Amino acid sequence: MDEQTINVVLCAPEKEKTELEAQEVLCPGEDGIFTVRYGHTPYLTTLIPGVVLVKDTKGEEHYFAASGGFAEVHPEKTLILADSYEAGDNVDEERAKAARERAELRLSKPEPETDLGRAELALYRAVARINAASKTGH
Amino acid sequence: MAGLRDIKRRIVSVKSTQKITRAMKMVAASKLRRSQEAIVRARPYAFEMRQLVNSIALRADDATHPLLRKGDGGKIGVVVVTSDRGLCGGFNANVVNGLMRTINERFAERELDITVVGRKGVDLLKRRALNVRATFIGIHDGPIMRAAAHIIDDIVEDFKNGGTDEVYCVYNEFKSAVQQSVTVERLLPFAPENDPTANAAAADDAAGASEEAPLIVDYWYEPNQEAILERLLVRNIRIQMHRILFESAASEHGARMTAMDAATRNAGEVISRLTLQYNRARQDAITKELIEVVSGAEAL
Repeated sequence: MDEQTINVVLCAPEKEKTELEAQEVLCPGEDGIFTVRYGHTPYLTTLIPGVVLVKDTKGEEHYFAASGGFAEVHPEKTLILADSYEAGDNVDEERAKAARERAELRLSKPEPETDLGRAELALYRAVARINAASKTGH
Repeated sequence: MAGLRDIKRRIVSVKSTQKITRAMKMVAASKLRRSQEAIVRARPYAFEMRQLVNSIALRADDATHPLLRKGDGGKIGVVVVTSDRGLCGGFNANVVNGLMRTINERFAERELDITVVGRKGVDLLKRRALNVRATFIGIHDGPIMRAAAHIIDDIVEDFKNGGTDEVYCVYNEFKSAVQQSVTVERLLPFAPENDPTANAAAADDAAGASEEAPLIVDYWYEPNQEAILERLLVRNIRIQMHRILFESAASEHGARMTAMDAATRNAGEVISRLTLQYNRARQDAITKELIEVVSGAEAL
């Protein structure tokens, strides 16, 4: 099993890299959630805000809230270039919930100057953070 | 010999200069710490992204995206990054010298299109007969990401339209608090510069690909190649510009700290020399007065 692991790197501007050896990783791709295991074909996709779930070599699960970006997949390596990311354990759930409520309110009662696209993205990001914090995945 | 008063006045003046240089050194040191943290944080993402883009450029056809187009000897765009403020040693002169050397050695025959960032660079390049197209002053007053986009977007647009065939950036790369090195980096096109694997791949293609050679497989793109490349390449160049501005800022504070440290020490030396001179002059005056008193007494 040893050589069957993938090297997962999470990266975002103004943030340290996170590097993990993993059995598999789940990413929120633009065309749907995908799982990567050892030997995946080279693959490049854009990500939407969501939860990245990394299952490490010991079978332990690491949850991250990522807010969109890119993922580059190689047979032995997965690189996630997020616009920002946060480990689920570090998420402030209260704040994330407040952010979700704000975004929902803005979407349900849109005013003329409301940027709907931005509000929707904010909602996705908040939901991703809540999910990562509560380790519910998707 | 200079009078006592004159020496005293000079000591006071050097002391007040020393106070200023010492204060500037301390300000630079605290700014350095902050900007050093910023660059250390900015680097991993920028490097990973650059690697990804290089690896795409290696696989994708240059025709797939305008930013991958390899030039054919047209105009060269150069972004020169300097500081707005002086008193930072050779910081700005080094960049300008690096620029002139690069032009003479590599682009002597080419037409240039120069963008200058920083007031000092604007001042230093004014006297030279260069085609400066745009200048940016005071970029560190606002958000850096916006400034980076502001600087680079026109350059990218120009490259897409074929106005320039290559774009380089000359800036001070931050090595450590006391060391900065002038770096010339190619921003566009994204093709890997003298990448050995690129040559190997080309050679393999010609020879019918030996079995051991790592097979270079193009990515599977989702949703589609154009959309991803457009987003990724534009984002990449902004991120790189952003990183360069951070590199330059950290280098500037480092250079200023070093320069002001040297100035403070130098002022200390001048002060001790002048103090010695002052004491001697005072001693001489006392001796002279004594001699006068003694010889006056003897004369009686």
